[in-house]
Amino acid sequence: MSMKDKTAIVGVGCSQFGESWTRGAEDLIVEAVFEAYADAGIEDANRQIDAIYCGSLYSAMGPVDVSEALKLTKPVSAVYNYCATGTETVRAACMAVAAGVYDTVLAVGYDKPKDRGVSGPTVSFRWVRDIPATPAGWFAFACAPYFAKFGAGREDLAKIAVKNHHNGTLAPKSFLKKEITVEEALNARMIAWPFGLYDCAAQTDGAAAVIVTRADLARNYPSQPVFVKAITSHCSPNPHTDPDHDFLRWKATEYAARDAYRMAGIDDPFRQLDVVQLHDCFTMTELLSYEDLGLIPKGAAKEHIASGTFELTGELPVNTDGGLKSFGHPTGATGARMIVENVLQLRGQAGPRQVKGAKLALSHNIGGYPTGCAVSILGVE
Amino acid sequence: MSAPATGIVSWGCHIARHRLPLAVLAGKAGGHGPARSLAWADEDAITLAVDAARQALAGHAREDIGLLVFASTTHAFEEKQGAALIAAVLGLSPATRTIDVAHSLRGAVQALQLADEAVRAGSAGKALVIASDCRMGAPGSTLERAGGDGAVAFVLGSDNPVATIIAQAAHSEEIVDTWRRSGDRFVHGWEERFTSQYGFLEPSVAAAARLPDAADGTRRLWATSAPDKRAAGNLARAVGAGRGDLLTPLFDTAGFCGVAHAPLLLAAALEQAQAGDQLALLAHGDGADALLFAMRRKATTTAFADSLADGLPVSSQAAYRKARGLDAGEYPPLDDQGISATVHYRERAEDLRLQGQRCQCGEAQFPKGRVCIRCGTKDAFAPEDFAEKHGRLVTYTLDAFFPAPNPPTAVGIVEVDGGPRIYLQLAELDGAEPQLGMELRFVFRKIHDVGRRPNYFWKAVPAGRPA
Repeated sequence: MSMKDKTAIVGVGCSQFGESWTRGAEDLIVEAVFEAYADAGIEDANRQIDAIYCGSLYSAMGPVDVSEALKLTKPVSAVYNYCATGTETVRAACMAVAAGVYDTVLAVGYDKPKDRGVSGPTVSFRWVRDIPATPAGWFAFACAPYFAKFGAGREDLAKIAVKNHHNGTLAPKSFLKKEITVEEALNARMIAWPFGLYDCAAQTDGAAAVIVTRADLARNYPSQPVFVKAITSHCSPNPHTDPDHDFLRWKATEYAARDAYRMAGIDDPFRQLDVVQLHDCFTMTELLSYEDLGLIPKGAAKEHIASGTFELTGELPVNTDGGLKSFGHPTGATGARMIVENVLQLRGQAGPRQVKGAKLALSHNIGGYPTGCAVSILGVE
Repeated sequence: MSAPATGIVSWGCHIARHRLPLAVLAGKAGGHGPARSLAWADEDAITLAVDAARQALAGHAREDIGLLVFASTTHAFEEKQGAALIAAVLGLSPATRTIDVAHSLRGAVQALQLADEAVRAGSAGKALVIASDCRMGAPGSTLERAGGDGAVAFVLGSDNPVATIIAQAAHSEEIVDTWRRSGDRFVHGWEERFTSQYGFLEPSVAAAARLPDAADGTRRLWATSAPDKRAAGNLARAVGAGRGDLLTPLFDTAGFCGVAHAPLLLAAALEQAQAGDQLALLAHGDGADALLFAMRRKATTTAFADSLADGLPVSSQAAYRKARGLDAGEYPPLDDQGISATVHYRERAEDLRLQGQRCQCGEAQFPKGRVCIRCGTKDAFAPEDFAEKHGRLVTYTLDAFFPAPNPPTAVGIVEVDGGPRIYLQLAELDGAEPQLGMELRFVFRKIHDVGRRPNYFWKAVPAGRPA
């Protein structure tokens, strides 16, 4: 069943992302959701919201985190798919509405990693063979084969970090508002070769909220409705054990994008899409995603990075708000944050980072080893 | 005389590759001075034993091993057998008798004697004897400087042995000279002038005196537990060893390797002796035990020489201290239950033998699963061990976060030749960058200490170096 144009987004909100030392998950959830309420003109949430879907990796109490914070006693369900959790949460909300079960649903993505009870990155062992590589270690596995095959290198990755740091300076709620240079990126301390510190997303606290309603009810809300053209998810085999994997791509992205384009009726994504938020958990993930999303051919990223294709002023701006890299990556919130940014772009409300005349926007989350991917395509008619 | 001769038919040696120059230990720059061998953070008496045993077992059918005796003073557990673990790693038959020998530096000699008697009696067709030790000297102690870590393994059998036991002698003595109480980390010793004379020399001489004299013109090499050069000189004079016939190649190179020391020297003697020579193995510890071997044929093995030569200098005192866990961390290691015993039990073949499986469609998998990734068939697999195969590096990263004495830690995907892909740490790159497609082999290592227990798995190392 296609989801195209069955649902619409009528309210979005996002908390300040960052290391929220003095605020808890409740503060972030309330900040994001009440902004979304205001955006949608919702004044009596317990009457106007039919159900809640919430996505978090580090939740303290599960779905009750959200219902207690909002005092919103409605059907509440938790969604989890690693770093794709945010998009998956919105997808669950859209499916519930499209199925006719509810009229209006609140999707909340949030995470509060700074309250996890650990100081800094952790290395934990759960199994004998649980070699505790960080996510940087898993995502770095694509680098050596890709570099060998297509001649890209750390300098190309650094340019992606420089771009996303620049975009982050233009987004009021981003964590890092700091321009960097290629040299600074190359000289930063190593995390997992070839990733230095600036190749890695900034793990932060944050929450983002999206209010989804039936497409035919969307014009009852004050903001310009943004229609869901596609929202898909796909899984791929664990790349560590997949006997066929070439480590030149992440298959889950290819699969989920293929399904999304089919659902939205897109056959030339580079020409048809106006703006893209993609999952730059590491710079190499962004590089691969240009290709895995079918924006450019496999192996062509290096030349497009050099020519600035994906910069704010380029042909297809990517990660206009700074992305995971500098806006921040509260895992469960990230996919919802991307949808918030795309809604602002499609409404023309993105301020100094606005992509002129944006009509069709894609967002993309990938998670696991990576094994799971979710893609959304939003549009204004 | 109609029974076939039994004795040592093969052996393997693994002196820990890391070599700590004593200058580095003292906080100075390294160089070419004296050094000691050092088990690294991922090695212990078990892993060294497995390495030595895999060499010794080359060419032997593992199901033919009827007895495994593992001698060490540094067993990981006060209660829980090491020999059974090693037998599982090596894929020996579950019917193999497994025995731990502990508590004394003469344990390896006793293990060899026990195994030889079993083979002679026919209760074991072949026997595997392993001696392995990683004794810890307290920081600043003589043992810290002069100790070493190593293992040696012998296969005993009746298939054209290189050397046979022709005499034995024992001398038991109660003495508090060197000890480690239950729960202690470091070995304690009394004053060296006392321990050397009454702990080592007198019982060693007493046991040696019970061996038959060598016939005129018969050369006798001595492989002993003399803890240092002076003690070795004293013993050589006391037993009348010919010049150079009491072997001392481990001093200043690998150090005193505990229960493995004298049997490592026996391997050295086996590699240099001629047919007709005699080899006296003599080790002390609450007395002394001696075995006298006759060389039946010249050996071609160079396991001892190869292992002694295969050293990797430790470049800093800090790396040594981290590898040995001598520095306090911010928090003490979590003393919890660790990984579930049920998980250990179910996954023991995968963890210990790198055992995966092959589907009837031909696709190999690691770890084992129920459904084939290729054809989707359920439960159509035959188990297959991959530990003795080679593989190629598919991709890698260098992880700066994994807790290691000298990060970063290389981690990669290794494709077993004709087999599955396995996510493994890489070791022994000796500072070189990993290369895509490089040929790798597998080594058994301590992967971490969760639950304050050693947890073992395999790592991949460059295939080029000798095993």
